[in-house]
Amino acid sequence: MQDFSLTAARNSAPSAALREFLTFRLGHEDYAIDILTVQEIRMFESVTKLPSTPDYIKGVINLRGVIAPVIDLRVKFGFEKAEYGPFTVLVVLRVSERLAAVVVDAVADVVALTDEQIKPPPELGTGVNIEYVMGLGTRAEQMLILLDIEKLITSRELGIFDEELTAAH
Amino acid sequence: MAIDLTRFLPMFFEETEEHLANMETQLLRLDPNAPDPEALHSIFRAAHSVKGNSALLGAARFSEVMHRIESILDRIRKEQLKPDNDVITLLLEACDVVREQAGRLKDKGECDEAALDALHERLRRFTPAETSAPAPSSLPAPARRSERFSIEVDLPSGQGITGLPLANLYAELGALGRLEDVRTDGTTSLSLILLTAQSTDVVRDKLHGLLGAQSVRVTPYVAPPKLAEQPPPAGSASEFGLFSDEVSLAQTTGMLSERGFGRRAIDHEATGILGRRVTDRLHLDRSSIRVDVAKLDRLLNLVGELVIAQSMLSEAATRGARDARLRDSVAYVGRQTRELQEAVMGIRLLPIDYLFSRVPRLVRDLARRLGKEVELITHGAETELDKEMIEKLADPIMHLVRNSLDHGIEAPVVRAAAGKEKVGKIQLRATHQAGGVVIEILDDGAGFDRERILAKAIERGMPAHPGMSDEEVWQFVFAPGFTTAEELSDISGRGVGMDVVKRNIRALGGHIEVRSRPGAGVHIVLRLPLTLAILDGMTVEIAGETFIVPLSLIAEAFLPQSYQVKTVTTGARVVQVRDAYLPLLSTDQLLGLKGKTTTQAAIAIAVDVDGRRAALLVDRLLGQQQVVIKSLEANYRRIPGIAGATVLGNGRVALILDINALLHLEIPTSGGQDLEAALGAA
Repeated sequence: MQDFSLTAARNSAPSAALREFLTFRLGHEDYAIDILTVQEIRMFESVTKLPSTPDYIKGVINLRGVIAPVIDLRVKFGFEKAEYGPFTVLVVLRVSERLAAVVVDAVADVVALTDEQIKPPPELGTGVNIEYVMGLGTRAEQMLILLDIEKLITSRELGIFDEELTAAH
Repeated sequence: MAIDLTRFLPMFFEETEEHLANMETQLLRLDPNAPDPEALHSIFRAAHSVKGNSALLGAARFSEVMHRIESILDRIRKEQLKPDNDVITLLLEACDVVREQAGRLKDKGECDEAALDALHERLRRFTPAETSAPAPSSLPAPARRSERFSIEVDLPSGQGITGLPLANLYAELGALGRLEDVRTDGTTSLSLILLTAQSTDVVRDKLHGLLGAQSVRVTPYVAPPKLAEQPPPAGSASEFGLFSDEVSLAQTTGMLSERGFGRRAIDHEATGILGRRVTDRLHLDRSSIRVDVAKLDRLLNLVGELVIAQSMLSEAATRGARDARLRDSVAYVGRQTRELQEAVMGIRLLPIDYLFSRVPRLVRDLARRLGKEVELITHGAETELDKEMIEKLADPIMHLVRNSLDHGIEAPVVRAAAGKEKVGKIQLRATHQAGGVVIEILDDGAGFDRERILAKAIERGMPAHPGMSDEEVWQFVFAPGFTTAEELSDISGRGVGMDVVKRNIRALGGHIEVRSRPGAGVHIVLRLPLTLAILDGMTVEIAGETFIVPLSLIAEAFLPQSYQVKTVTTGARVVQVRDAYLPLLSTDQLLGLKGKTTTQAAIAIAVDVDGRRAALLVDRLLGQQQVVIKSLEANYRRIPGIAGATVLGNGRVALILDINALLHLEIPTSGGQDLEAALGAA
């Protein structure tokens, strides 16, 4: 299920100042995460619900024999609509040696950004999720919200992993 | 001689542990009056291996200590020293110190030299003849030109390649020079080519030290003869050409080598044969292939996925295809897949001897300290069960044996007075029964003291009365902190008692039974599943999701009728099952599941966890099946009431209920106290 553009992008000549990001859509916005945290991209499949978990934890799926949680970032970010359509996909992440899948509306592309193309996040006061935004990127007149996905996934706020792991970050 | 020694370190620690365990086992069996030369030799060889490895890796202190042990063994062998109790105890303690210090070296990268020096000094007292230890076994290399040697080792008959300390051999020869080639047919001979600057004698000595009695030939290497010069194989096999021979040879090495078939022709297939031979013999000798458990788990996962893929395939084939051949093939794949799964599961199984072999030492030390005489008898040490299970059983079994010795077996005088044999008996038995393992610990001691247990139970305010049956009375020994020992010794009665044993056995999915007859002893039976990786489960539907309930905890399933159900307080209901009232729990509420529940047509499952009973409401029973237990916590935090997860035949995840935890959960809406009250009343 590996996206081909993903491998192609990885094979391109690496440059010291270039970082590669996987871009995807959540609601009406374009987000991007560090490609190195992405293990694979899968079609959305039905999940097994977990008891006593927050809304944004959709449940667990079977990843070739390994059980991994599924997080709906749209619910977590408080978007009005969190629908499951033909483009809804699961981005499987490997973070701190653990696996987790996030639901996104559509995967767009892999982009390489230079440091100059990444702007620090704006001062938005104490916005709920601003601490997980690494910066803003621009590409072809388009704004990308760069998520610090590792920080988000391992955050105590999300509560996916047990304390001892979240405490380490 | 560019050889990186540090990569031998993990092997060194594992092997040291193995050799020490071997020494211990043999030492315990040694008859002081007539020590078995074979056993002595085996101990000697183990000590020598540790010495050689230590010297090779620069752990000089270890090799000095092992050298002292060798000297003592040598004196015993020459009948200059009688291996009486003191000598054996010293040697056993020496093993302990070496093990402990090797452990420190492994964990902290250093060892307590004072402890090793002290041991060295103690050992020296038994070897007065020697003044100082000679240099450790690797000799300084004189400046010589490197030469190739051809080394031929005859393998121990009946054991083949698994009878040799291979890792040792490679390590030691690697230290002498470069091993250029290793070939074996797995059963009769091993041939090596060594490039070294050492002399033939040095190589030969090294091999004799390592392999002892095994016949070894060291000759200057001669380039291999051309194919035509090969000795013609016995029999007519040669007519078919080399290639076809190889194929059949791979399957029938043993048979052919018996016929005296030449070794060279089968060298090409040697690795493959060797690999299979060694695994085949896993249960026969201690030698084995070390594999990271993570690799096994990965294999298990892959096979699990294969089983799922196979069931999808078979479903598609039975639904669509009219082609009988396709259906047959799919059925065939199905059988093979299941067999493969079983085989992979089997890799995790080890003989329980790994655990039993640790008991003699405990019994010996304890009996000495308590002034008791005990004979330990073990049966069924070859019984196999899951490695993880063996590890987790070690503490409970040690504890039970300790109990038997301390509380069960009487002092020799008392035994004599009671007309029993002076020497007490403790038996350890392991058998396979009904797809599980039964481990029994029997002693012929005094048995439980019914009156004392009753008195103690009443004293502690437990619901005890003199009219109780023996079985009910014995249950008190499993109460936390329960001990009848008048004074606490450091042997048993330290509070960590039978309750912990019971909890541990429970955690392994097993249960424990106790039988006792006054004056005749105690018989403890542990019934355990074969592996921790598989669970017999009932699949049920709760709030639209599939869950697994461990079958071992289910007493019965029934359709509760309205007249059976009574409301005790708000939200707390009980259901009458014959003459008992069980708390009736809505599983969906306990778990906080949001989904449709049809409580009207719900089915109740009566569960029993350590005598604590309750009825759980579920929507539907789906069936029974064996499931492979997977960790949820690998990638997600712990969820109360959930023990783990599994993957069903359709590839979906199902959660396994933790019944014990469920019974202690509070229903979010109603008060937890009500539930507790209802449980108490039941």
